[in-house]
Amino acid sequence: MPEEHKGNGHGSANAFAELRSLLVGPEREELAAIRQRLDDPARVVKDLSRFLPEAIRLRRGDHKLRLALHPIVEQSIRLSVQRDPRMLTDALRPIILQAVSNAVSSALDGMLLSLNQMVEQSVSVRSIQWRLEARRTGKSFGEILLLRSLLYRVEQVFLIHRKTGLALLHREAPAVVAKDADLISGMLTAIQDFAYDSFGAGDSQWQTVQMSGFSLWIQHAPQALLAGVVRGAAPKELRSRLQETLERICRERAADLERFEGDATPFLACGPYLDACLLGQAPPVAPRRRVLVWLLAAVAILVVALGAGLFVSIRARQRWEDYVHKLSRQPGIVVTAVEKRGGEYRISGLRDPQETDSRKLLDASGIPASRVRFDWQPYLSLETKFAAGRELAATRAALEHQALYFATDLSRITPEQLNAIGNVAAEMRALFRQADAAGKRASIEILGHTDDSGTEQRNTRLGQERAQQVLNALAAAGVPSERLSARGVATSEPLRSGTSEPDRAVNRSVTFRITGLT
Amino acid sequence: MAALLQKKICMAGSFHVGKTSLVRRFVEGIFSDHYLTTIGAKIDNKPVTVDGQSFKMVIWDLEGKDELTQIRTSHLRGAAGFILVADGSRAQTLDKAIELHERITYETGPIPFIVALNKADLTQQWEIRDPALEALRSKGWPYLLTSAKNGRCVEELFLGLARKMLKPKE
Repeated sequence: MPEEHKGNGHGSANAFAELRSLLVGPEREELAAIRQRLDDPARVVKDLSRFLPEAIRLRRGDHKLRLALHPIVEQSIRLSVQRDPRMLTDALRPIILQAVSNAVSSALDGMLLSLNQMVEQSVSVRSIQWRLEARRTGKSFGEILLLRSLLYRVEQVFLIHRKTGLALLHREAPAVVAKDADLISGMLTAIQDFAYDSFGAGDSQWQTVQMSGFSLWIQHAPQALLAGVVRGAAPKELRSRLQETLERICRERAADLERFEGDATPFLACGPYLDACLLGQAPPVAPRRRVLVWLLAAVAILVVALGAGLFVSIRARQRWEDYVHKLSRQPGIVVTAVEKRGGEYRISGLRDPQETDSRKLLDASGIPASRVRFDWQPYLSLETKFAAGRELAATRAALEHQALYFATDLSRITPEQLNAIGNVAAEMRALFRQADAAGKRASIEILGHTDDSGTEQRNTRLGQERAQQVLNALAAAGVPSERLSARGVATSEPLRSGTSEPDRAVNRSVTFRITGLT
Repeated sequence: MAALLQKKICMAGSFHVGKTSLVRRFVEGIFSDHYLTTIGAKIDNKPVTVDGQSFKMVIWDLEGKDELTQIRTSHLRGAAGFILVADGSRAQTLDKAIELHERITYETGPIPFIVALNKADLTQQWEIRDPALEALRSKGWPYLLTSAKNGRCVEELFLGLARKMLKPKE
């Protein structure tokens, strides 16, 4: 029973499974297939790839999708550039070239237009010629202007070995100061390599490098480069000239280029070809500028000369006016007329004979004395200075005419002489007072004379005694003795030269000499 | 006028081993160092005379930025010789120089070269020991202990390379 029961139980399970497979068998298989597809990444990707384009297309207006893709696209581009810039360069080149050429041509058009407008009103002989040329050739006036006014010059030409970057040949236009051609060739090659490696310029290479103030025009051949340093705006024809030259050299020197190992001698023969590339013409501005410079220099010299002349004449005139002004204020001078004849000055007027300062005034003025003529009339100035001067001169003259006489061989002063000595003393005190007022330190020498009789020794002693006696008497009469001095002159300074008795009587005397007044 | 006989040589080595200083010690150039960092090469030249033969040595001083930057192989084209520079006070710069040798000769073929163990004035910090020098000798590599600072062996370095370049090829 249990066996059967057991057998029955087993049988029922099988029956259930069978029933289940009969009822849901196909669905289960389908379910398993779906699970398998979901678990297999390759299948999922394959399925997704079928729907992705359509899905993105459906969601193209969705901002979220754009935000999600944005960083991915950005990073992808960056990675692509890092790995190999050439791919992107190649892809973009048509667009960029088009864009650049559009921009350049529109800029050129704009420039021509504004040039046209700018020069439309301006008229010169040259502009009329250009207008006629424009009408004749059918070009716009601006184009003609560009062609005719922008001059150029090929200043240097380099023939460079492409592989080593060494200079094969270098030529420069007259009056061009060229730096080391070897270095320039090397740098040029290094820059080309750099450009090639960095931007993948491909076979087209760089043809023009714009520097400040000049441009480099470069032509390429497999073995060599030809580079021209160009100042100004060169016509397009220059490029074909460079290209022809390079091709010719490469053709003629193919073997030398191939086996070049640093010896540039074989390329010397190509010199004339390079010389023929030194084209162009220096703008005609330079000579005009030189003339202008000379003109300016001449004007400057003239201005300086005129200025100097004017300065000298003004200074001379100033000096003269100063001098005349000072002279007319000078005491003892009355200027009545001043005139200039030729180069000579003439001053007329009155002058006190005591006046001496006017001469110093002329010396101090800097005016040459030879150019001044004076026409003075003498007069007596009433100014204190000159009046006092005259008084002093009179006192001095009176005193120097005084004499005290002595008897033969005597030096003693007689009572009669004391009166005369009193007068002399009064005159002397007056003289000292007047001299002091004029600021002068006067002193008086008392001279003792003798006649020519007797021995010389005796006469010398006698003269000295007479002078000393008079000095003592004058001191006693109140004359300050420190301003007096006594000197025996004996027969050396006789008042009269005769030998008669009246002459001898006059010579036996004492006289006075005043010093310190000049 | 360009000199009639010229030879191009290259200076290669890690960053800051003294390549530019060695060149400056040897020549007085007209281009500023600015070019070096811009385009990866600084070019100088100097007329030299060895064994009675004169020529102009055009020296391309190649940039050694850091370990990651490769030298521009286009700058090596047409070189007749090269100088590998290492800093004696930093041993790893010699390893780098040995590596550079492989890269350069791959580009240029077998051409004369000399190894400059520079900064020989820094005796205190000197790191390159005898085993390393022995290794160079066993490879048959010529080397010189140089100093751009005091001028030690700088002339010998350039003129030695010049002499090797002028020797007829075997």
